[in-house]
Amino acid sequence: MLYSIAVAILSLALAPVYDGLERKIRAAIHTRIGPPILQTWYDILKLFTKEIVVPVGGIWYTLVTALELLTLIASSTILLHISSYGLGKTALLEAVTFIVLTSIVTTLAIVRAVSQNNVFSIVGGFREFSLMLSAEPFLALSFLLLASGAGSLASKSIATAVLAISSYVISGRVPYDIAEAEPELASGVNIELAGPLLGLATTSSVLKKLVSATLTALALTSFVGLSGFSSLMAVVIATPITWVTHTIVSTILGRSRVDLAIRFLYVSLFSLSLTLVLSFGLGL
Amino acid sequence: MKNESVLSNTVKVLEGLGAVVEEVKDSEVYLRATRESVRAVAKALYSSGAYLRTCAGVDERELSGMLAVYYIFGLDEQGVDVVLRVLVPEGDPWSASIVPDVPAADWCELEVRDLLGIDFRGRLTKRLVLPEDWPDGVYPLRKEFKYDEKPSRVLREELPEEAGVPVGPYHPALHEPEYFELYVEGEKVVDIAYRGFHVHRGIEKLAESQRFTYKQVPFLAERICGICGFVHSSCYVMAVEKAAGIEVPERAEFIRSIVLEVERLHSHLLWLGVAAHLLGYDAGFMHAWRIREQVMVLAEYLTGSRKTYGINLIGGVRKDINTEKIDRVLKTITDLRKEFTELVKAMLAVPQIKSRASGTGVLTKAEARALSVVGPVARASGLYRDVRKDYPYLAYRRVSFKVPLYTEGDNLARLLVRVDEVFESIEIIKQLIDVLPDGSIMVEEYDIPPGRRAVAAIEAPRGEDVHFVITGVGRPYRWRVRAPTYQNIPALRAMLRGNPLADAPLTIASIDPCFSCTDRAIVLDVKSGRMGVIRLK
Amino acid sequence: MSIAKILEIALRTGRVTRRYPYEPPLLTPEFRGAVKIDPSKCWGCGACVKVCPPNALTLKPAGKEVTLEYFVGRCIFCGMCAEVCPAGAIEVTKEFELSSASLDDLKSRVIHRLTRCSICGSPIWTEAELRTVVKSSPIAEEYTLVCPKCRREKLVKAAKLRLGAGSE
Repeated sequence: MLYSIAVAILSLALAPVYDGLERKIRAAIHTRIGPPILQTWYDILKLFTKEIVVPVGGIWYTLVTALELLTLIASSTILLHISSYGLGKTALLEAVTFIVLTSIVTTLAIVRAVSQNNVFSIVGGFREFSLMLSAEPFLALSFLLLASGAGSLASKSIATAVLAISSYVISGRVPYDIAEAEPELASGVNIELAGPLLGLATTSSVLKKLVSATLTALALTSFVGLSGFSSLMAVVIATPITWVTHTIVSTILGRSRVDLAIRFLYVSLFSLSLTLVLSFGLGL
Repeated sequence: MKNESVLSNTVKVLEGLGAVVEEVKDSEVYLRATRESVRAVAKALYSSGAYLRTCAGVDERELSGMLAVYYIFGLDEQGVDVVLRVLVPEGDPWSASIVPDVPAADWCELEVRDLLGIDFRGRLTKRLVLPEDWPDGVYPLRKEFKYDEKPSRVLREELPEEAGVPVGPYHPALHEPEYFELYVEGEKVVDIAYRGFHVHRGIEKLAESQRFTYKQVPFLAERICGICGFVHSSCYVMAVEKAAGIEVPERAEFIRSIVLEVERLHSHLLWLGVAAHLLGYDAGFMHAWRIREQVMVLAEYLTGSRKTYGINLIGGVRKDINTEKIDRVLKTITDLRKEFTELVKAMLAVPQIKSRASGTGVLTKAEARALSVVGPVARASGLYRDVRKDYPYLAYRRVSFKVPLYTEGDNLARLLVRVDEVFESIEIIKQLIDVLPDGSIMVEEYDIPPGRRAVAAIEAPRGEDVHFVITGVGRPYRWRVRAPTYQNIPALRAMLRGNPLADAPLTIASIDPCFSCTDRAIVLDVKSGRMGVIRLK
Repeated sequence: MSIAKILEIALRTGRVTRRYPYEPPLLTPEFRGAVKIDPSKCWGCGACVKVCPPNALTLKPAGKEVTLEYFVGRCIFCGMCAEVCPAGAIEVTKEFELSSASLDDLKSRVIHRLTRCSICGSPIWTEAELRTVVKSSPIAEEYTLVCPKCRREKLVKAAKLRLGAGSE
């Protein structure tokens, strides 16, 4: 357990560095130099030195934002703890805890968005809600199935595919960053945030990317069948690799429209999950 | 004039409705109509196939003792401008509106009403370009109003809070201040209200003031727009040269055409990058602007400045092209074509771009015709209109090129029109360089007699830009600029209504709005743009 | 596949960012920057002032002197002043890094002394203009020291005497 906490703290410290790496790689694809690798850390720290500006909603709003971040930290810690066992050998309680914590994070984010008096924030919140509804259930399903360790290689592969797609969606990257994107004219869940509050929200979004990359890394490395400390290390090494893959995918795609995104996700994830359940039920 | 008989038939019909022929020039026909008969005359003209280019209000009391409204129509088939002039006495300033038959005249009539005080009967009127706190009865375009006069503000009732999604005047997705009020039901836009003219700078009035002379106005005109500035300065000098009968040397016309096409290249590449950015594809934005950089460097090498070239003067141009510059031009456009082809292929392969741009923001051909839209917006909706073909000017008579035409009228069609135009521009530049004539680049001696009129139009990257000049002594008596975006914004209503909210940014960007071009009639303070708040100073 | 073409383009192109200001800016030989006025050549004739579109060049008379002031803040770098200057005193440089914390840094002045009419005392033209005119066409200096109005009156008086129209 102690190892897990140490690794968790290290991962949380590394997440903004991975984000900085993402910005460098994106810049390279754009043929420009980009900011220094530690830039995300600089941004977050700078935001915390600004004056505290609390939007309408006062202390309640601040609490929600802080709670979101804390829950996210807990969620990523649990995930790393699960990694130290290996995905197929996870206790059901821990797997369910992870799913519950992740859902709480999403709910808090949406609550924060729609509780604002700002039309941009509300529209963004609704878009976020629709998007999450079309990805999270499939995330939960595939994760729990993989965590149980049951099923053949084929069904495990399908479950991994579903997990990979749905975890990409929760990472808040193009093509699914619809809620935060201001060029979308009427989006902007973060529009009322400034200073330390925005710092909290930025850290949350970086950690979401970490969870997304770790999930995919965990699912992929579990095929190797490691456990214990070596499993944890494999996940820690594979995480930046999946992060870089996510980066490249997000740079070569455009932003989807909210109805198109939902349609695509439902069709693809639903059909994959159906195949998964069927193969499970048929004992393949 | 092509097809003279059709034109004289049209003129006969108009004379039968009460119009009187004032003047017939090379490609312009000036008619006078009374304020009662103007509606019937305009209707007949419009149904004979003419497009309304713009209308201009002029304070002619020093010339003819009355106020005047000029309606400028264009007969594309014949390549002729037909200008209807309506004289209105100062004591009883009203005229019949032509808007019920020619909807395209909506904005320009309102502008005349705001700036000159001529009332238009037979239509709904409202304040368009002046801010709410401008006093009544003060008309900026009248000659007694000094260009730097600032009347005291009038506090009016607070405007009610509107219930829509306010977009602008300051918004990250918009590059210039404009204000759209989008009324939504869920994710669908049911109506829009547009309020613009936040950046009036008084350029038309400024050019009439003592402060400016003929020679200095091209530099002023260039700063109307930061993207199509050269179009405005060329159009102004062309209008003055037409009015005064100045023959510009051929080499100067070729140089102007080459620089105009270079400007078209940079403008379309800029737009492509912006469209990609709005769709979340920042890689497209960065690469398009990286390619555009070579065009900017080329422009600097040719003219001395990356933008606001400053080479136009009445009578010719200031800078010549030598063989090194020609070689540089050829090299740049050859590299450009290769890189641009690659970029377009890569961009159109992105599934989100294809799916979001096709079928969205549709403008039907009928709507486009009624509103007389111009430029790529018209060509994407099936209207074959291009000033370079219909009213050939400068060196375009000497080159052959295709005008891209699409019929779907959606955002993807407008994107493809601009992509095709880039390739056509490359061809045009090659041809222009091939047949570049020798000779001087400037007419040194010329005379500009006062009281002459002329209309000039150029196909800017965004569409048709029209300048109307009445010459005065030492400076223009009246200079009317109608930028292409002015003509295209009213079409946004048709394009946004009934469509998803998420398509709105791309649709608004697809007309390539240039609000700098649009708002430039009279000097005013910059509005705060906040609804319901009148700033007290 | 086409969608990954952008990666290939990027790999081929490298980085295009210019590390300005740690690298010199990208300027072509034709670039027009701020202008420089050579005080030794300037006549103070005001041709540049007449042609300058934004009024960056102004001529301010003050008693015995007239000052040609060039305010870079208003300059649009069109170079028209250099084109019309009859003395060839204005040179278009490639300077564009002109920011300063003090407004006065952006103004440069050429101060000319004015010659005065030996009869009525009103200022006529600058000493530099006078020198240039005398150098190119040697004429009696008395002509250059008398203002046009007084010279006209002198001529009329002399003509009246000659034609015998009586005194006064």
